[in-house]
Amino acid sequence: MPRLNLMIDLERCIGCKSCEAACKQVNGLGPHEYRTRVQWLGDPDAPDLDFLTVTCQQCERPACLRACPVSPKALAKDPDTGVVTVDEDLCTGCGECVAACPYGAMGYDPVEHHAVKCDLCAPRRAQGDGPACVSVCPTEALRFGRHDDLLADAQAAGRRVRDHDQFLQGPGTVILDRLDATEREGRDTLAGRSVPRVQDDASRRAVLSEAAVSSPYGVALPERQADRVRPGGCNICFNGCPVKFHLRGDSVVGILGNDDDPIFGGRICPKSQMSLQMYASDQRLTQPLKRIGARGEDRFEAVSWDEALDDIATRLRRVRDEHGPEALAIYLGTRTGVLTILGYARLFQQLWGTPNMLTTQILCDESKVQALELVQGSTNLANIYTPGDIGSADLHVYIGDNQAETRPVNFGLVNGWRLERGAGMVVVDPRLTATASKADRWLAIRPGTDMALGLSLIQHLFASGRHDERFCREWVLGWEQWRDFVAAEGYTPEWAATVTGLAADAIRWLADAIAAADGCMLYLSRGINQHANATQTNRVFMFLAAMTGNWGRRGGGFYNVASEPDWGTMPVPPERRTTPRRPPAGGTVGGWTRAALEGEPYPLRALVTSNNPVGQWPDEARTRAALQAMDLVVHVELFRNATSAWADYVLPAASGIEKGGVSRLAEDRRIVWNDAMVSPPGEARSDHWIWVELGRRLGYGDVLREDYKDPAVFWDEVFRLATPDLHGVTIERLRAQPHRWLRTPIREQGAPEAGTLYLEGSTAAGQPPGRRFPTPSGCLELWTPEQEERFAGRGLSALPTFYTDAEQGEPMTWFEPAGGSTSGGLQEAGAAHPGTAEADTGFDAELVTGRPPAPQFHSWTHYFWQAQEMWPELYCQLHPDRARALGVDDGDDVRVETSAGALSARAWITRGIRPDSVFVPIGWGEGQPWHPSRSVNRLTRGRQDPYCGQPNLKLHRCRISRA
Amino acid sequence: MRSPARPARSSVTAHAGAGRPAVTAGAGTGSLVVVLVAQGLTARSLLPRRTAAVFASRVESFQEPDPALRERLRAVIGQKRELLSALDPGADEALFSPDLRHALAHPWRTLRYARLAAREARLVGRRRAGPVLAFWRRTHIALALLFLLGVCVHVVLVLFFAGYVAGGGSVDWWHVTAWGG
Repeated sequence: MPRLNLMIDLERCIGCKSCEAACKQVNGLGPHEYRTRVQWLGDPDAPDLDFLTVTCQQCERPACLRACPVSPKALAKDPDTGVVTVDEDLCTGCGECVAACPYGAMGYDPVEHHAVKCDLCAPRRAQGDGPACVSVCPTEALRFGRHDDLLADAQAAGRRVRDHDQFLQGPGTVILDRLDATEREGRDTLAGRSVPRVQDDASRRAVLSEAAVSSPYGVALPERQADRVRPGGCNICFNGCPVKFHLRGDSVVGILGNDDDPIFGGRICPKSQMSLQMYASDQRLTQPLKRIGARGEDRFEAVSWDEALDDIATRLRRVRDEHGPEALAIYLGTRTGVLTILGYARLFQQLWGTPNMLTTQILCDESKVQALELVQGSTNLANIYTPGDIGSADLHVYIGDNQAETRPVNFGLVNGWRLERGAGMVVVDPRLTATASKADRWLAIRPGTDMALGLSLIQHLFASGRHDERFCREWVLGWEQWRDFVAAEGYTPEWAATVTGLAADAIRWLADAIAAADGCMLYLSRGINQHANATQTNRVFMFLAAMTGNWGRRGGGFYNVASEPDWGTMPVPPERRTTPRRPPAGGTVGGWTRAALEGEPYPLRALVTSNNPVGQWPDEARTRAALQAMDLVVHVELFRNATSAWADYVLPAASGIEKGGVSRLAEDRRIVWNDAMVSPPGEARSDHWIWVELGRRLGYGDVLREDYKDPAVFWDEVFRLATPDLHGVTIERLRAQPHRWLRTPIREQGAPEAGTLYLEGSTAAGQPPGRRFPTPSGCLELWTPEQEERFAGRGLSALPTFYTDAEQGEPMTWFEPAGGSTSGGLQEAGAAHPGTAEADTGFDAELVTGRPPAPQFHSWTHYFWQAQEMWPELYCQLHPDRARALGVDDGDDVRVETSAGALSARAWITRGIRPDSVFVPIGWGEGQPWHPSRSVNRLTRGRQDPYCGQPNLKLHRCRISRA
Repeated sequence: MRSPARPARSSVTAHAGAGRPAVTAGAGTGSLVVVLVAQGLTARSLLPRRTAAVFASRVESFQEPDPALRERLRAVIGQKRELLSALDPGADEALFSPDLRHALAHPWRTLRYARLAAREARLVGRRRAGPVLAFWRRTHIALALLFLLGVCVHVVLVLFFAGYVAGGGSVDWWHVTAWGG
């Protein structure tokens, strides 16, 4: 048999650590045990970021084997395959091999005291499969095969194979260098690199020794072998990645990618895999809890479901009697699933009669949703992740979207296609994110000024006549108004350069590149959505896409996180519907806290919530005060988090395949179905069950029927029928898919799955023949008198006057709400500028917030021990110039302070951030099991977008000091 | 004569420190046991996580090679191969390390080979694991050998130089010689 090896492509690797997750689950490894590990490598001298997968090199002259003092040796090298294996029974755990391996690629089990090493997944190879790490890699950075074949492939692709045989050990792993390695002035890609302390500090991982580890981790192979494998989807984030659940009895013992999927082909990120640690976590809530101490004391007693729900129903009735039905607010996170958010809870809401229901959309992409409804008349995004669509783009431009870390699988697809085609990639972001590290060009923009960039791109393209005139004339309503407006306002690249901090030439270059590309994909995300100008910025980039003809075509389009069908209303008989007598209390979380604390416009007295408002909503102190002020707070969750302490009842929820249903909305219009496959822990119940049971106690049993506890029944009989885009998505058809998903809209049973939408000559779903876009005009609507009226009602114009967050450190136009309502107006830069005033009082840095690397997702993953092993502590990225001025070294603790509060975090010093910015990620919170920390929303108190109400979570003035 | 009132263990302890020059050797051997046990326990309880943390700690090894280092290594490996052809002609240098059989059959060659192997290990960067991890086992073995040596010295002294060990006092450990009787 020929020599077998891995091939690692440094160009493709994004440091997501999915390989680590696969390795641990498939090989039953616990905390501190490694067979593979990905290191992030920063460059102290340049804004650069690379990732190195460290694993056994299967050397020809293995130093580990020669160092083994045991007789017979515990290490052996297969003479045929060249794979070096360890016999854990023979190994005495002396550690000689660990010290001997020059690559630091020999692992060690500190509990069982023996060496641990990669054997290229020998049990899987014995069954004709390959290593697990290769099977899951979202970017196909890992490949497995015969050594000679791998080298031949590398040669055929013109790739440079690194010579890393420093020590003449004959390492077999083939490492492909970065594509631009030769452009780095002869400098070795990996020379002089350093691993940030926050990612690699063994002392901080020590607490994980106490983690309760359960199958498949830390158990022998026979105990983690599945007795059946079922397809489904990951329920954590918006990708809805197709997975295969490996089941053993009533337990999940493995979660790997679905290799039957025609597009994903088994790629998944670490989160999907580590959700194993959710299913078997000893941190899960397993009983209903009733508060017995004061709010915030976190003292509870276990009660029965009957006792909890009976009392909740009684207290809800009391709230309704005293304050009206509008006094109840319902807040649901995407954790609870689409069926809950848009199904069960919507039925309950209509029966009860409150207008106050929000989801995490208000914090995530409300601005995009509202902009898309205005411009396109539908929230169905046009493009899909296929080689023929997004894969055929000539240029990919990410603006405020760190896709590689937030949706690694989608990024892996995009990056793979673009490398094959030689397409370009540009990233506009204040930070050199993992996404930016893969791009041809990184534009380090001042946070919150993307709108200015977009306007200048538009101005330059019009001025140079590089817009798609035909598309504009035929399909863009209001394009001339926009053209004249940006010209009149003088939104030139030179103007934008002063606002964004980017060079005017770079702006022109980007505009020209977009215009020249035969298909340009624009990807926006929370970097745009979580600013006070988010709706307008979304519209600006929608216009940019439209004016360059990148709308309704393959390989060109506008993207922004999840793509939703155009939801219908859940069917409640009119006689059972309770129409609210009062409008929503602000329609935003800020409005809710005001209603709870000040009783304006009317008091909110009860909250049924999932997720973690205390950690997620801006201005954490005010959120706590609002919860404190309420008569009833019910918290439905998987784990106790910062919100639980403020609740009257904490109800244990089921998740994923414990409850079944549609999990999340994928960004390419896929509906992903999960059957319920295992029992929830203890007395945990699905959100579906909870809403039906609560509804029954309030007399809604005729609508929220008992049989709807089965999500399949609810989907088929109620949910899909309420939304025309989903009519054809039957349970039977979903279950017939080997990958368990269908791409919508599918308006009739048996109709084919949708592909790219709004293609020229096509008719939009549900529209009269010939209407390409589902707007009243059939065109993309960027300006209409009706829109102007709507924007004017909110103190804005449908034409995009530039403004930004009030929290900018330099005076720029900003929006001031009048009298606390959302109607107000733009304030000129010269007026008393809040951000400048703060900057003058010592808040000299821009605090940028956002998602941490791929293994973490909000607070969920902080209960997964392996995610904490990968990225343990809250960190603060800062530029070396700022760090030097503060006397802060990498890994030191720093204090980050805003006018709202302060927290402590570990310094990560990197040139991959604007010198004026610091970055603190979301997700950490108090009460988390291993690395508790204050939530970043202790620091946020941003103004909200006047059009959509989405708050600025992204930009605040802050100051940093040594902790 | 053995005092019947004294348990055997006490006698052994007592005579270990009986003679003047033997005081040091006896006490040293006794202390070695304590150190050996303590080091072993410490290594087993405190070092495993440090050992595990070595994984992926040598990213600099993936840099492009230093030609001078490779040249030195090439020379060492060449010497090893040459020596191995005499030490164990059938062995593959890539996988070989000498064992007791080699040491007994070819002590000098084995020692030379071990020194070459140690030199290679040093060039390869064994010490980058840190002195504790790199040398705890060797220290442990050295201590164990010292202890063994101490025990041997002790046995020889108390058996064959009993009067010297007793320092002119009474020899009360003849129970040892009684084993043979």
